[in-house]
Formats: sequence, C-alpha cells, structure tokens
Amino acid sequence: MVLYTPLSLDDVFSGNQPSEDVFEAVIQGRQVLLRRGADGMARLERLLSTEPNDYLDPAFSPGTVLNP
Amino acid sequence: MRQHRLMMEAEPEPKKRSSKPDAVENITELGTTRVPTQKSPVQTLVIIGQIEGHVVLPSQNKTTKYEHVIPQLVAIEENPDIEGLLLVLNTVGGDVEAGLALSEMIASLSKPTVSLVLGGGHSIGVPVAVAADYSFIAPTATMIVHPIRMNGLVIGVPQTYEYLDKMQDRVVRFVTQHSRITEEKFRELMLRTGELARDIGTVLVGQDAVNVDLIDQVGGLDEAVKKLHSLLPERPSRTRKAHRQPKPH
Repeated sequence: MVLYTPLSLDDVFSGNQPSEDVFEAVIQGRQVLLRRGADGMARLERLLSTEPNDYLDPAFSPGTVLNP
Repeated sequence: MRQHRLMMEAEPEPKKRSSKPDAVENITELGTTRVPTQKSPVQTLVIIGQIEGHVVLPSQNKTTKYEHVIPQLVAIEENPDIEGLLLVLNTVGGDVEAGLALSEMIASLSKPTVSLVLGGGHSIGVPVAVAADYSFIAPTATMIVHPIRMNGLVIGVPQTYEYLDKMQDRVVRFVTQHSRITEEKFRELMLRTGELARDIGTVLVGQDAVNVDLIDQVGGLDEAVKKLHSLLPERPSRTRKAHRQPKPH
C-alpha cells in the first residue's frame, strides 16, 4: 500500500486499531455508519448516501438513535 | 360463513406486516410519513478525510472508503433517473490505488460531473478533483502537490525507487490527461523546494490552482450547482425550473 498524503505517517497510523463501536447498517434502505455509545444505544455517525434529500430528513440527522 | 372467510383472509396479514414494515404501517404505527421519494436528478458524493484503500486505517482517521463509493458510482451510472453528479472534496489524500480507482470511475462516468474542492484537496485528492468534467475550488481551499512517499519495509532500494516512480507517473499521467496543466509544470510543482516545511512540493490556494491550469474555476456551491445544471441534458418533458420547485403534496 502506498499512501499519498501530506500528513505524516505517524499521524495516520499512531492511533488505535479500527474501533468495534462503529459499524455499518442499512436502515430504511439507507446505508449508515452507527456508533454504539456507552449506554448501548446506536447513534447515527454518518449517512452514506449520494441522495441530497436524504440529508434533510430529521430522522437521519447525526446523533439520532437508530436501531439496526 | 362469510364472517369466517373474512377472518381467514385477514389472519395472515398482521404476521406479514410485523416482519416487514411498510410505508402505511409507518404512518399508522409510528406517525412518520417516510414513503419512497423520487431521487434527485443530481446526486452528491462527498469525499472527506483519508481515502481508504486496501488497509483499514486506525479509528482516529476520518475516511472515505472505496467499498462505499465505488458501488454508489455504479448506481449513479446505472440509474436512469440520475442525470449528474456533484463531487465535494475535503480530503487529505490517502491510498494511491483507491484514489486512482475513484478518479477513473468518475472520469469514465457517462453523466456530467462537477467537482468542488472545499478546505483541502491534497495529494491523491488532486486526480479526484480533476477527474470531473468541470472543477471548482473555493477561494480559501488549498491543494498540496508533492511527491509520493514510501511507507513499509524497503528491501531493494533501486527497485523501490522504480516502483515509486511508476506510481508517481500514474498520478502525473492522470492529472495531465484530465486537466489543462502540462506534465512539466505539474512535476515542477511537485518537486519545488522552499514551500513546505517537511516536504518538497507546492501549496496551491484557491486562485493559484486555477492559474497553473489544474482547476477550471474559483467558485462555491452556487457556481458548481449552476454549472452542473448547465451540463445536464435538456429534456423536453421537464424544464430545469420545474424540478427545482417544491413538489405538490
């Protein structure tokens, strides 16, 4: 793998390994990244959609509790 | 008898509903009115953070993953309702293979594409930005052009050098083929000294990227969306104005 970035490789690789808290799911036909918090609830981390109208849906605003 | 038959017919239905919620059930049970809506003719692809390739990066990195983006691009190409693509970039570069794969897919999309570099479009973000049919850069956005570095174990120095040189050539070739910048100019920017503290290369801020013929125009969201709409094919059944009006409910 060759990385082409102005960031130093220490900045890219110094952190923890990919966390298990963030996971992908499909909710109402939309692909989302969810983060499971300390309370065990899954909250929306990122909506993975190319449809601009999806981002206007309040049910899919970041931080919303969603059940996969 | 009639009643009995009605019950027989009605019985299996609740089972089916509870296993698979539909739009009507959402309205009655949850009070939400999320029903399938028509897709916007212009889709948006946001490329943020590191472009992630074959290796999953540690969790402090924000990443755009190719396994998400490549199927989305295929879907955009395939869906007849989608007419164009707006690319929004704020990326610090990333994996060369994944970045070039993305760039090639964007460049070979049959539908009009417009890119907008906001914040930063560095390193492998440069070929992604120029892959679109028309490219914009925000006045304050920056693009860093610099040589590819090596990470990992180096065993044979000449071979490693050769390999890196080939990787670099792939990037240079793509950028010069998809923008108006010449190869000499691009390599000169890449190898310039005195601009970056820890590296050789050049920082291009807004207008600079246009002056060296890398990006087509300085602009923002308004210009980018207007340009994309001007590139969309005219359809006799629907004028451009019509679909921008709110849909009747």
